[in-house]
Amino acid sequence: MEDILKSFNSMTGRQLFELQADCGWSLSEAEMLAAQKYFKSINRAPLYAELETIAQTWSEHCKHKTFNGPVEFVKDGKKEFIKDGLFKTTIYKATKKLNKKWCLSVFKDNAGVIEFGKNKKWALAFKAETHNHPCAVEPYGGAETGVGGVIRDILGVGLGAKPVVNTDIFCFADPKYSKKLPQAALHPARIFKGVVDGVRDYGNRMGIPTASGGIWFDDRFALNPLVFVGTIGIMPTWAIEKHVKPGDLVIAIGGRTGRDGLHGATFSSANIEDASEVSAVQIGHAINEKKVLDALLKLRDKKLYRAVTDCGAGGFSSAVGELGSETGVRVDLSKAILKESKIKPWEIWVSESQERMILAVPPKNLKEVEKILKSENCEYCVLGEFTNTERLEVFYDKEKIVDLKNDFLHGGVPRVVKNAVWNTPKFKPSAVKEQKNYGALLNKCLSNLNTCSRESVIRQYDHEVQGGTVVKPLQGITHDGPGDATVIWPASATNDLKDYNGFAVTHGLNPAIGKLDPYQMALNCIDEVFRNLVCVGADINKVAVLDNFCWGSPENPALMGELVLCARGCYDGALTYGAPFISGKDSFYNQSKGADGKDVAVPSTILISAVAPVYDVRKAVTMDFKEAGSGVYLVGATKDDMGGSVAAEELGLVNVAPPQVDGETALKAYKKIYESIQRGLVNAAHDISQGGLSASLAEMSFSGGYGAEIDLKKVPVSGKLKDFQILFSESASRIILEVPSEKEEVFKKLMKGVKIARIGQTSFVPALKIKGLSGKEIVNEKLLKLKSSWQHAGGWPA
Amino acid sequence: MKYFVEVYHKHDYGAHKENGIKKRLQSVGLKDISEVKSYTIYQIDGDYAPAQIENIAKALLADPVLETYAVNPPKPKNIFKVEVWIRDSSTDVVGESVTDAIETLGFKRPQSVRVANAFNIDGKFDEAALEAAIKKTFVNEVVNKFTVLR
Repeated sequence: MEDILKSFNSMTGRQLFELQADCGWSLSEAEMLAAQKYFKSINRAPLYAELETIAQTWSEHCKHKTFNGPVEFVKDGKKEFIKDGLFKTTIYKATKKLNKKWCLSVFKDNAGVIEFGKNKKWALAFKAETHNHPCAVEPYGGAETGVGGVIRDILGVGLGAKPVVNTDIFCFADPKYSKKLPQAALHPARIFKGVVDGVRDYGNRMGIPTASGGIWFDDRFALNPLVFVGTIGIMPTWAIEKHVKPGDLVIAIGGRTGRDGLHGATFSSANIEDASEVSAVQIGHAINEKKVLDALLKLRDKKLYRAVTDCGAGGFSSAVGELGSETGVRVDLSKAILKESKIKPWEIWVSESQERMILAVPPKNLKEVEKILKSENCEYCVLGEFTNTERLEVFYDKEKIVDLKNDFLHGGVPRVVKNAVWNTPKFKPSAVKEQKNYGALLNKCLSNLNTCSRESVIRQYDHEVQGGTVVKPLQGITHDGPGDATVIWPASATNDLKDYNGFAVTHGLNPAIGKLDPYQMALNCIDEVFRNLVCVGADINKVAVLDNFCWGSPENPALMGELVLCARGCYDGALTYGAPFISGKDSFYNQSKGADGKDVAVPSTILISAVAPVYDVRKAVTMDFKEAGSGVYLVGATKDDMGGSVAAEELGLVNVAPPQVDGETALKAYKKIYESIQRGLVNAAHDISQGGLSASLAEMSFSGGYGAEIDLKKVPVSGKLKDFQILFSESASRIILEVPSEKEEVFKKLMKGVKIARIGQTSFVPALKIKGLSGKEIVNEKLLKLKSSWQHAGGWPA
Repeated sequence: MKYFVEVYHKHDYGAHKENGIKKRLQSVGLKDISEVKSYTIYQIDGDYAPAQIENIAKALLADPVLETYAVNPPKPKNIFKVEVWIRDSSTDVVGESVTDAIETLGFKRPQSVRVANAFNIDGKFDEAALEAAIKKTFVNEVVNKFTVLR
């Protein structure tokens, strides 16, 4: 390789591209040419480790080139040039425009940070990540290391936050998938089981509750599952900022460095069949990370270091390079603690071995730091020091293996124009032959994979550890109903048992809408998180959101078109609802060749994660009906929004419009609901999502053990609808509330100005009875049967 | 020297796990399974006297209430023995923890410890069918290697 690199500066673009392909760097020809230009300018050939460093630092995973680059967008034949890229013109712009003072650190650190609790003493950090490619290859290890990585993001934000809850959202193919798979692909049922096992084992061993999440099924996830993992942490506000000073020591703590995880950053920026190297797969070691967690928080509270970051994608090369990007840094890799002796210096530099973090420690604190690390049995090594040279200098003993200028490394990646196309599809009204009885369809919708109970997965996670899970993922009298959001009381971090401040966390994800309209997918997901948050009594005036985009290849103009629309939906949604994005991530190239050799991309998917304060966790509300004789109220209008719905899937309806969100009207209603919950007027609240009004009523009924008598004539509708649409439409912005009879008058007064109707009442009779528009009973189902349909959908892996 | 310590469930304490193994294998078409016994194998590479290995097994690897163990036991007869190991190129995190723990207990640090999930299985099927089922359930050849012995 040394000989090849001697001629690097005289190679043609094609030769450079071939070189990067051979080395697995996932760089483009333009990027290789930019690297060549730099080395020509300094009049020397590159060293191998330098090109590895550039490949890691410039990877899609680290630099988000698609989101930051310009886009040539053609919508319905009309051309537009998005010069400043999608991130600056949508996600970041919305946050900047909203300018919320309670956002304390956004888009500049490992996680977004907002205010938490009273007296400005505490801050909340939230990050959600994906680990899709590793989970496709090795589901257990991939999921474990995904969880480990996002926990380290929270440990590495500012000077470190204490993780108080983990989140997990998965997209899989049907576990009973029976189509032919390529030779090397794992069956969706194995991926499902492995991923759940991995998330469970890592989170449980770390002592962090995994308490909020979801699962979505679509067969286009067969080859490329999506695995989103998130962590929320609490930190003192003084620990938000970090500043490296020249002279500070570079200390690596935690796991040893091995060959595992080589090329993880570049691997996640490539199609799987191109780069599924065994070494890209890592196995997590939760016990090591727990040692890091315990040691780090002790060091933080004694203020013994000035900065910290985690070793994620790119390993030392990214972490050390990032911390030293404003000062300069010099390290000697011969000082690293290794797992194996035969590892090469460049491999040490880019290895993604897990559970490692980098600290910037003033030399005078070294002894104290060593003492604490030893007491926690946490391995460490002093790798070098931060300098004032504005250069990245890496040695192996006396041999220099990297010497790059920071401004080139961090600012030299060329911006490449991406092409995007979108042609708006035409939809038709949903037309279904009316039925006399909808009980069978309701049971079918409840047992649909995208509606049915997730209890068998949720129960594997320890969602109670740390003792702060107030509103749990499973709710109701037998603790098995589907909650909207989780409420956490992080007293384990604040150590203040008299402070009842908590927060609610939830998610919005709906690739079925994305198939029809990516713009509405983003709006619907934002609306869903608001619905979920308000249902548990969170303050929807202070919602912070995160975006996670998972897409196929950005070289495909049609997929890029979907991305543009979705990002714009995020922008409009954030502004309409007043919810800033505080952190986000993107994952591209989620596509592989199927058994027939054709490329299969995942459905374009956005996950919106959200968090909002709950000022008194004792006032939080759950979704199960609490008593008989209460008024059942429906907030929001039902429309012919069958596109992407569960009923549409069950009945094979195509080309029907997905829900169109009216955010302003919705927000007005949510604010009133929030107030009524705060005033104790609401017994139960549940949003309407998969399965529509009928499924949500069923869930509230069987979770609480009370039946309901509902009259569809009372349901506020928009347009001329039939029983089928009122029962199963998945129109956005609708919430069902149970209001005890003695509070109904006050409640109605409070809700004035909002589209709301009393559609029925709860009952002692354990059945859901619904009268149709004709006045005849169209649903009369026993709660036991409905619950059984919902719980025993079948198809889950053994 | 390499020692193999096998740790077994006492009585039927592993029944839930063994039922799970049975179900998973049945779900990929391996029918007529008559018996499954699951256990863990620790491969300890180090310079120890037999009595020291006994002590390591007793004090660290086997829970005296729920489990029993054997050092370098003979192969079981007339039954398939399946061992699933992490490949040598991948980190065996349980093995790493055991390595640290052996040293913490005051013994010389072993050169390596690798851990396998193992089970003995019997029924009306041949080795090829069992191997195919194992590959679809408990082995991902990206990170695992395995053996089926009879």
